[in-house]
Parts: sequence; structure tokens; C-alpha cells
Amino acid sequence: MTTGQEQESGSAGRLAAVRGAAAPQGFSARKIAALLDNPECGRRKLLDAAGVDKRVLADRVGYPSLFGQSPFAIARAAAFAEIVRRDGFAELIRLLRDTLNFSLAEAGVADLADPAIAAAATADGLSAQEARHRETVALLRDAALGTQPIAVFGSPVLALSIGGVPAYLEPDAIVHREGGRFTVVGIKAFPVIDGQAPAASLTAAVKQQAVYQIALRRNLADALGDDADSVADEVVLVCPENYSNRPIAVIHNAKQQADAIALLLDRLGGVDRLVADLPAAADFDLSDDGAGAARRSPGELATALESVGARYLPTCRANCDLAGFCRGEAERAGSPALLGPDVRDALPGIMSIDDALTLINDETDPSPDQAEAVAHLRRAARLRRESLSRTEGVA
Amino acid sequence: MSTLQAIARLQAYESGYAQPITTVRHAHIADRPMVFIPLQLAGQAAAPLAAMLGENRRRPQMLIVERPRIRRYRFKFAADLAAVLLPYFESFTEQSFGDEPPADAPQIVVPNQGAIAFTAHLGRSTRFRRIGVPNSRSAAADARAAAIAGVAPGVPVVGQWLTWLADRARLPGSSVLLAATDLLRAHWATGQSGYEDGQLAALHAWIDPPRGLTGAEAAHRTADPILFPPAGPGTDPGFDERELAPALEACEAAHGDPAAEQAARKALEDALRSQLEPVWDQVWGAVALLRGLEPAAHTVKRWEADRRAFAEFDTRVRAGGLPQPRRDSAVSSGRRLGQYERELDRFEAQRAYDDPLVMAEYRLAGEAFAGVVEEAEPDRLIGEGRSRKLRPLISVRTSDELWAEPGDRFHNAANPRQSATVVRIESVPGAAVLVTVELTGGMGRGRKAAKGTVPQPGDAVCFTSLALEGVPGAAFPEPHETPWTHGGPPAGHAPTEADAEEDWD
Repeated sequence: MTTGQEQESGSAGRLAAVRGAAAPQGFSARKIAALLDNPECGRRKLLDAAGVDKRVLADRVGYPSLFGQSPFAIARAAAFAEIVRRDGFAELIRLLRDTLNFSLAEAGVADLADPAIAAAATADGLSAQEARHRETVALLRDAALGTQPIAVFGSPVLALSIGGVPAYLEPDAIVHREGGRFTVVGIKAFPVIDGQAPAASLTAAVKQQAVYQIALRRNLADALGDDADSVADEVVLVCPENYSNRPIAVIHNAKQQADAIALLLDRLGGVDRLVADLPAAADFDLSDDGAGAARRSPGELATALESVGARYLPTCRANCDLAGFCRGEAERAGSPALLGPDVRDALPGIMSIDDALTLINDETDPSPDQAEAVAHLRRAARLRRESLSRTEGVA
Repeated sequence: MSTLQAIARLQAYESGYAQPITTVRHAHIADRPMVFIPLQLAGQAAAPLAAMLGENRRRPQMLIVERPRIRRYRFKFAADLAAVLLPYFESFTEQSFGDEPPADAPQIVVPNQGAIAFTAHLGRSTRFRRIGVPNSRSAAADARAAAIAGVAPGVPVVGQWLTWLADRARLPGSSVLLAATDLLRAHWATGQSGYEDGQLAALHAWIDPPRGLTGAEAAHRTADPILFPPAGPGTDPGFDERELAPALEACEAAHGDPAAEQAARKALEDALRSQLEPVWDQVWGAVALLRGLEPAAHTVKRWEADRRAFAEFDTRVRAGGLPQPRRDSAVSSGRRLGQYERELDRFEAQRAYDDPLVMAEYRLAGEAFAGVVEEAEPDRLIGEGRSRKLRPLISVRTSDELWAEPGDRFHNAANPRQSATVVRIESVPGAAVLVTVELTGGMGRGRKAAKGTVPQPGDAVCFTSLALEGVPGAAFPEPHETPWTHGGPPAGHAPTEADAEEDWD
């Protein structure tokens, strides 16, 4: 394992250089899940791995991110989480026991957000997250071995290597059933109405918990040897019931998502290669030189961005700060991706919208591998022309 | 999306303007539609914040919730909404006589699917409410009912109507609750992605840009959420932070001081109006664009079904019927799914028969062919004596790619009751085929075809394997005969007091 760790710290060092002097942005499960929405995007992969603040970067290159979360949504989520957490997770324990029939040890709650943990460990030269992670692993191990009956781990910190870069993740809670398995718990403010949660929110939440599940499995395996069975395939989501603030617990099998994400994570390597392919002069240093002047001009940053290939999808606008920049780039190139994946898929092997149009209008001849697709497109164009002119004639 | 629509998108991109993907309008646009734009407080499924609504484009009505976290104010919003919607619904029932469907029915146009979902949430959170009228079995229950402050008589009724609208909006081809984005997307292709078409401002700009701008340029401008606020029901997070949060705080702070309350309310109303007014214009703009299109032949029939369904539900509400259950039982959800599937097939077939541009999709897929009649044998009879039947033959030259063999049955797109059985398919010069078909039906009752019912040489014709009337669905058991595999007969559904007093916070 030592060589692996050395490798990790080696690529982490190079990634730090790419980020320059600005403070790193941590990885979150949400970010990982979003990364997996478009796993072929090297640009996002590199920037996330390096911990570059994409929001600031987008602003600097002239495509300010339009994302934001409403203060009302943030307040509502925080208030709901507080209801579930207060009095030592009393509400969560009640729900797990009463509605999901979990058998939980009496009075075993560990709060890993306790500032004392981080404070005690900074003395050892660890960051707050490293310290909380160390404590989390120690307590998980004790619970698994039965030496200390802990039922609920609040705000634990797990570690996961993302494409060779270590990341710390913070699930809402992990519960341990008596003599049984660990289960990841997510606290979400979207409601479950008459037993049904909104599909998009539910999918995103389960994906996010699946990332935690993988991290938990790997951390336990490292601490206890190979024991993947100790983590349940199910995750628990705690959400408001109907239109109230009352929490309700629902259980959801996340095996499919976890398997898919684990597979993608293993294939997500290649950040090393992306860093190696970066031109020597290119970096994403967003810091200033101390006198208020930016170290990198917007032009330099844009050039550096263009040197890493992106895979623009219109849906990037829903989950990536840099989507505006990538869209601009796709626009300048006249890329079929602008019109969405459906249109792009209808134009196999055709790299620009202009090429597609000249091929369809018989102005150029298709290459042999395009011939079949172009013949179909030309037939479609003829039918469209014919059907439109027929009705014009009538009118 | 079909290849034909991909072509339309490419052409829209090239020209800078949206391109039509139909030749006629496939939705009914009522004479008196009502536009309804709801806004909700971020972070909660059914916290109403404001709405702009009305039948008159020049006189929008505005409802606002100045203290959206407080239950009583939500009920006030529901009551205000009822005060606008219920008279609108009633204005149609007055035209109803006997078994005839009413002459017209209500039609609500909202900006997008999010607004339809919000309509369903609003319906769900209000339809079980009981108003403070003593009518229950026990004095204690009456006292509790009376204690439910601020639930006006219209609230549970409008809840049932909102639920009905949202349910019916899922039925393919229904036009009682329409989303402007769906209407526009079903009739035009833009030069941007389908994902971006979900934003009403950008979509509308591609189709109907202001003078002096191309669609592409106008759509580009809509990226600014200050000039072009989102069409709801969620508001722009930047607006929430900069304007809405302070305005709501001011309303909280002013509570109890009438003069200050009025001023704070006015400021909130102005802020919300700035978000709603542009959307109001876009939705009415969409209605006007759609109205400008020629209606497809079958829209009349589908609207008649909507009118009948409206009258039926109105009767049920007037009779004091129970609110719709929280969840369907096994049999009713089976029925409902079956109905959706049948209506979807029917709607798609009707669209193709009504519109050559939609039929072109089936031609591209080999499920239809169009061409010119080369030869015709209009008086051909087969069989002997009493069983002699009229079976004309025609040969159609088509350059469509056809997936068919002798014996396959097609239907005449211009005369749906006439079916055509393929007799032979021959290749002819010019990358075309000559299809000979035998015609049955749709020619009148005599031994000779009625005039104009058999296509003549030189006529343009189109035949499709798509049937206008689908196969009827399988019968479902009566609810009391639900088999045990599906949970057995459902327990009778009756809303409880717990339903009526459910939290809304």
C-alpha cells in the first residue's frame, strides 16, 4: 500500500501546482455524483481533482456561474436536519426503531462533529478532517468488533480516493445495528408525499448515499481486513412527511447505484495523464500576488482551460459552474453537442453542425463510414421538405 | 427525438429562427383560457408564495402570501385562489344541458411542467380540508373542525378541482391544463437543446423574437435572470437573496402595525410582480402563437372528451362527492394506466392522420408510404353471385423506403375507413417501387365505388400501417372483485379527520 500512497501524494503534489496558491476546494459526495453524470469530461475531472474553485474560475474567464441555492432552501434544510439531530439523534433513533424495526444498542451516539476531536488532533499535526476521519475509523472499528456499543455515528468523516486523489466525505450519519451491519443515513429536506418522493431528488440522494457506502466499505475493509458484508446494501433516507416538518424514514436499496459508481470510480483514473498532458505554462492559479493583482490573466486561464478537453452536454448547465464557458466553446466550434445528445446521436461521425448541413444538402459527399447515416438524414430532409411544401401549396 | 426533428433543429440553428415541426395545431386552444403562474417558496414542495392569473391578458390578478411560513396565510392563498377559479369553472357549467356536453370547458395554461406538479401539490394539500362547519358525527370533532382557523368553504373544493386538472393533464391529448413549454415544443424546433427548451423565456424567444433580433440573439439575452426571471414555480436564487428575503422579513417585522403592514405588503407585491410579469407575457404570447395555427381535425373530438369529463366531474363535486383518494387502488391504477396507454396510441395516430409532417416520421420509419397512383382498376369485383364484392386495385409509385410484404394491411390516410392490402411490390426505375394494393371499405354501399372514394391515376396518396382506432384494452375486474394478488378488494376510501387536519408547514 505504501507505493500507492506515495503515488497518491505525488499526483496530489502535481495537482496542487495546477491549483497554484489558492485554497483547495474539498471533494463532496455531491460533486462525485455530479462528476459521474458526465464521466468523460476530462476538464471537470482535472479541476475537481485539483480542488480548483470552478465558480471563481468561471467568473474570471467571463462566464459567471448562474448557480445558487436560495437562502430559503438552505434554511429549510438546516432546520429539518436540526429536528432529526437534536437531543442526540433522538428522532432518528425513534424512527429507525419504530418504523424500520432496527435493533439499536442503548445510548450509543457518537458525535464526530464535536469540535473537541478536531482540536485535540491539530496538536498531532493533522487537519480537522484528518483528525475526524481517524476518530471515525477508530469508533467504527470498535463498534464492528463489539468493544464499544455505538449505534449512531453523527457527521462521520470517511476517506475515498478519487482518481488517485484522496478526498474526505461527510455523510449525515451512519448507524450500526446490534450484532449486525452498518447503514448509511441521509437527511434530506425534500418531502415524501403519500409514500412517494420526487423521482429526481430521490435518485440524486440515493446516488450520493451510494458514494458514502463505497467509502464506508473501503474504510472498514482497510481497518478490519476484507469484510465487505458489514455494510448494508440499503440506505436510509430521512425526509419530511407530506407537507409537514415531521421526519419519516424510508429505506432504499442502493446496490445498483453503488456498483455502477464503484466501477466508474475505478475507471476514473487518468487524472495523472490529464496533468501530464497539460502544457508546462498552463495552470489554474486563482490567487493574487499579494498586491491585489491576479497572478493569471483571464486570457491565460481560458487558454489553460482550452488545453484540457471537455465534453459539453446541455445538462451540464444544471450541475457544473463552468458550463457557460464550455457552451461558449461549443458555440464557436459549431458543435452538434449544442443541440443536445439526441441531435448529436443522429449525426454519427459528423463533427460540426455546418458539416452536417452541407452533407444533408448534398453539397459535399459523405465519407464511407458516414454514408449510411447521411443517406438516412437526406431521406428525412427530403420528407420534411416535401411535407412542408405540400401544405404551403394548399394554403 | 426523431431524425426529422433533428433536421428541424439543424435548420433552426442555421437560420437563427425556430422551425415548424407540424403543419397544424394538435392542441385545443379555448376561447377563454385562464393563465395561471404559481410561485413557491424555495425548499418546500407546496408552500405558495404568489400567483398571477386571469382570463384577460391586460388585467392580471395577483395573489401573494406575505407570511408564507404560516399555515393560516397559506389557507388564505388557497381561499383567494378558489375565489378566482371557482367562478371561472361555474361559468361553464351554466351552459350545460342534459346529456349534451357543455358548449365549452375551462382551460388553464401554466408556464411549464413544474407548475403542473405544483398544481397537483396544491390540490393534494387542500382537498382533504374540512371547513369550520359543524356537520360531523361528534361534538368534539365539530369543535376541532371549527378550530381549523381560516379554512374558507372554497378551499377543499378548489383542491378537488386542482387535483382533477393535474390528473387530467397526464392524459395524452387532453387540453384542460396545458404547459406553455410543452405546447411550443410540440410545434416548433429551436436551434438550442431540448434541455434549454425547458426555459420558457428562451424557447419563446427562438419562436417569436422581438423586432430587430433573430431568435438565436433573443434567446441569448434570456440567460440573464434579472431581465428574464425563471418561469416558476421556483424563483431565482439571486432574487430570493437580494429582494425576496428582505421583503419577507419586512412583512414579519411589520406584523401588528396596519400602516407598516400595508407598506411592506406593497413592497413585496412589487418585487413579486417584477418576477411574474415577464412570464405572464410569455405565456400569453405562447397562447397567441398557438391560436395562430390551423387546428388539426381531431382536436375537436378530443376537446369534446374534455368537455364531457369536465361536466362529469362538476356533477360529482356538486353532489358533495368525496375528494380523490391519496393513492389509487390496484384496480383503479390499472384502469388508469390502461387508459393512458390507449389514449397515447390514439393521440399519436390522430396526429399522424391530421398532419403530413407527422406522417413523414412514419414514412421515414417504413410504417407509411406516400406516392402517386399510376394505375387503377376502380370497378374490380371478386367472388361469385351474392358474395361478389368490390375490391378495387391501385398501383402507387413511391420512393419511400417501405418495410412490407404481400398480405400486409395499410390504411388510407385520407380515408381512414379504407384499408389496403398489399398484393405485390415491384422495383421500378428511379430508386422507387410500385406498390399494388387491394382496397376494402370506405367506398359506400353499392357495387360501384362512391364518387371520389377510389384514388385515380395521378392522385397523390398516402397509406400507413398505423390504425386510427386501436385495439380496445383488456377488461379490468370490478373493484370488489380485485384478486388477492393485488391486495384483494380495496377498503372503502373515506377521508379521515387526520387528513383534514394534516400539517401544512
